[in-house]
Amino acid sequence: MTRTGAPSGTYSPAPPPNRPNRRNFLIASGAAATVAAAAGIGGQYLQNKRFNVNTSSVKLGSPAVKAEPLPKGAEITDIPGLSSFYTPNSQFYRVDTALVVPQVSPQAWQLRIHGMVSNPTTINFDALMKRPMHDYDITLTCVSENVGGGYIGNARWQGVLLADLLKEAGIQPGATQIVMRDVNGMNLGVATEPVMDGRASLLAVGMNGQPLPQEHGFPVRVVVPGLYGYVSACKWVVDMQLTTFGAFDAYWTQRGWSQQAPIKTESRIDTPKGGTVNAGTVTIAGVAWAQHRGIEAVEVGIDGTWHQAKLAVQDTIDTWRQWYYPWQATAGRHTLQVRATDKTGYTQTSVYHLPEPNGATGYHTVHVTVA
Amino acid sequence: MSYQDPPRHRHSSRYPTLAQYEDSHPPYQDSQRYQSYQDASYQDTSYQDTRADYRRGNGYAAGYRGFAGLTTGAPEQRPPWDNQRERPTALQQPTEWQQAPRRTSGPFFAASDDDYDDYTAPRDDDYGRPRRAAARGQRRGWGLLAGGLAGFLAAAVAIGVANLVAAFVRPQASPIIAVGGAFIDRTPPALKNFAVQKFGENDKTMLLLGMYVTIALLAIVIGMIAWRRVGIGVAGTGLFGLFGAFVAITRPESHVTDVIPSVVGGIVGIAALVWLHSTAARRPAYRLGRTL
Repeated sequence: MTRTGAPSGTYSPAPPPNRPNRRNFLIASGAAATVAAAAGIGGQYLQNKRFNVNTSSVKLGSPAVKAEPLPKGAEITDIPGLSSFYTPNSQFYRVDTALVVPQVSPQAWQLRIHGMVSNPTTINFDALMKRPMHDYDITLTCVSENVGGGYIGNARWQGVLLADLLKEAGIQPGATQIVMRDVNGMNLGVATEPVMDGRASLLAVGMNGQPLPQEHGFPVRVVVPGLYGYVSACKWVVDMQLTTFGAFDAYWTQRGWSQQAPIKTESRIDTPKGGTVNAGTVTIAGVAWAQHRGIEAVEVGIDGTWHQAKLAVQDTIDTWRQWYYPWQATAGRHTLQVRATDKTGYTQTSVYHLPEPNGATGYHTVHVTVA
Repeated sequence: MSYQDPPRHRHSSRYPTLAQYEDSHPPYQDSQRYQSYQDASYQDTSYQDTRADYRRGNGYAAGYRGFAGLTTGAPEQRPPWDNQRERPTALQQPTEWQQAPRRTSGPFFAASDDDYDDYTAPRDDDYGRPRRAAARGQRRGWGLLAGGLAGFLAAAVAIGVANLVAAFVRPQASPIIAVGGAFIDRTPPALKNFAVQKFGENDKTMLLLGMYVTIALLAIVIGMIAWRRVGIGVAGTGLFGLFGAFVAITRPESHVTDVIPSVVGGIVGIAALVWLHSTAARRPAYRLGRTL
């Protein structure tokens, strides 16, 4: 003991409580949790406030080239459970890689067309809106649409013809691929030939009479009839580069999907969904699609026997067709199947295949018990 | 007269011997005398141990008995931070125990030394970092619980703050969004197909959920380790921030400013982790400069 001067009167050997500081820690934890929640929620609020773009700032005029009026009987509305002919914007499927929906203001938007073109151009939103507008019914399908899946929707799109813009830019012969990039740098590669072959490939600004919703590519997206979305339907598109398939592999091509992907002839049973139905007349109904070829016939297989289904009137060959078949259901277990034949005479294959690498095939099959 | 008593100088009878001097000048009543006494204490081996422990970062070390060498006055005028008492010896065992005074620190500061003003180290010294207590086989549950919770909350604070900062940069600069986007780009096709078929259009929600769960688990583990080794907690949280910044800046169409949310989030997360641990510790063991 070197130190002998401690005041001996106040000597107090109470050992410190050998307890952790729970009270302080719990208060501090509460404070930290509050800060985290406030910062997270406040940050989200501020992000929305500062970056969200209002789609209603875009006023869609009447299109210069109107779509043909919908033929009578093209839309079946009186079968419960059957998909509506036009898919409402709010129910339209959304498949993309954007974790946050990109917010692009129309004022800032511009599309650059470059690469193998003689006049590289940049077009802004006002100039785009001044071009003649077309509206057109197109059924969009995702390549991830499994047999019987829901990644398909039909809408009336309004936009300018992409082919006209590309012709003005002067596509050079040999430019086999158009690489489209969105505002986040995502890229899709579409073959030039189907875009330019006269089909209604649109730079769309409107969907079902409204400006494109944010999730569906506001302000401008691409819609090409007859091709799966992953090669063609670039949302928030800001850049188009004309190149060749040899020169550039697009995002999905790098990941094992096909370079070119026309939509396969497929069909789906919407109702009954399965389970138990009452004996008597059961309406089997659904949709069939073979975009840009058109649906010729749909057959319903009931326990292996095929029956011709009744089809809604064809709108365009780029849209799906609703179909139904009134079935006199007898008690017992039954297997319902559907197959479609397109206007080229091709009947969809019964061979089941997963979506990879260029779209699923197989008959949609539903098992029902009739009570 | 032995050889140990050398012959005195012929004038030495004017001066007292050391013993005679100490009789008339007790060490603590003579400041000059006290200083030389303290100088001598540097030769004390126990004090040398104290300084070595202090350098090693063991907190108030076993042999610590105050800043004796810095004190020039009488012991009653010790500086206020020198509040340590002698270690009790068997002879000095007290008969009555004094109540601990009311704490002066709150949750927003590490416990101050004043909180331990009238405490005396128990026999088995406990003045080290918490790991020393654990090394002696004491309960470790609190460390795991508090450490894990602190790590979780620190990660939550980091992500929340990064999200807030991203509101001033751009939403895609948020580290969660950047890392999630990078993950989507690198998802094996089989996993992607599984997610699309299994979760449908909720696949993004499920991805974010999976990311949050993964981050939470890692943060809990980091927090538990940080209870013992705060440096590892700091390094782990910092690496998370750097990873977020790296991913954010390597995304397509990214800007240099995209690193800001991750960096700020990482720094705030480190601060939150250290602070939470300091409030949970038994001793004011975590102080910047001593443990970092």
